[in-house]
Amino acid sequence: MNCDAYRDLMMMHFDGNINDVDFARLKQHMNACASCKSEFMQLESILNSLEEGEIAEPPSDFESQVMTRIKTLEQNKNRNIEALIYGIPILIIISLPAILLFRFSGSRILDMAINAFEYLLPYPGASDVINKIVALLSILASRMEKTMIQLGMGFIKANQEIIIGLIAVLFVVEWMFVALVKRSWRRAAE
Amino acid sequence: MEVSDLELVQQCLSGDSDAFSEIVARYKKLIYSVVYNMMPDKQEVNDIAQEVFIRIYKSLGRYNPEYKFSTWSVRIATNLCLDMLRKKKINSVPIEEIGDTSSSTDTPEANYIKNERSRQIRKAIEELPEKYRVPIILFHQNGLSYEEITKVLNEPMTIVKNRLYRARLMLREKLSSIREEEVL
Repeated sequence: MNCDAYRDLMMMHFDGNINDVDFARLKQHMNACASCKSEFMQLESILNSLEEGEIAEPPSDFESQVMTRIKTLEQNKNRNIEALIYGIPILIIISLPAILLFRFSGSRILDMAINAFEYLLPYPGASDVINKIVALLSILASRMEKTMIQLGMGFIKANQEIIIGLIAVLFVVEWMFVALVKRSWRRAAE
Repeated sequence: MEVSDLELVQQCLSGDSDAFSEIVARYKKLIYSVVYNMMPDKQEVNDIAQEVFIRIYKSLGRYNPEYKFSTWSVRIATNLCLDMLRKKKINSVPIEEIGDTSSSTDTPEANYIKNERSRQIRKAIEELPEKYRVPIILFHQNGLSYEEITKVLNEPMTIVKNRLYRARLMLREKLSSIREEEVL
């Protein structure tokens, strides 16, 4: 056996996983080989002082510190859900009239707006819901007087740009509102 | 009868966040000492140990009962510590206060030498590359078994063994070169 092989035995010793026979062989080799012996002594001293190292004790109120942080976390989570619950209906209520108007004007912009919704809203599937509501409302609306619709159409077509602008502003304002409310809740919780 | 870890996890998941308090009580010592051994700046230990439990809480849904809860939580702890260390690698390591390992029976000189020695060893460990540092801390300082370390690191036994062997030799090399400098 050469020194490399004895070094494996050494490692097994420091693993705490060596049998008596191998340990006796290792000791015998170290009596003859000064470099292995010094390596062993150095390793033993290093690893012993590592294992002796002080034991770190958590402070006695550690649980309550952690639990306080977790309660805050849970509250924030609930508040975020609340923000969604309040925020989404408000968004829809504000945007619906505008969306409806566009459906009747036959403009493609409606589809774009609904697609944009998908990116704005924090949960998927929202645009499907909106589409269904719009479809339902348009069935209702189609039963209304034709003349009223035509009058409305004329108005929309004449003022298309202004209405687009208004919707865009509404979107932004509402979104900022929701974001602000969420942030102030979070601050209050901290 | 004692509630099992898995039952506690399930209670937490079903909305009883107080069950988590029991989990913290069971594993705070283990997590705290792993974080303590991993982080050179001892002032951060409490914060990071808390953060580990927050992470555990958030990932309870992903707990796999095939693992022991202790192994799984140590894994989260070491990952968080490594993340923190990587983030502030640029900042230098603060010089540590000497004297925290002293015992009253030793003479001041013996104390000083002992502290100086353990400071050097800690520093040498901090300088080891991550993949060698983590096994040596977990095995020699936290007393984890090979079996547990393979699960924490998600590496096969042969690799863990090799790294631990290499790490010991690297430590010895580093520390013996320090000693030579001191003699000269």
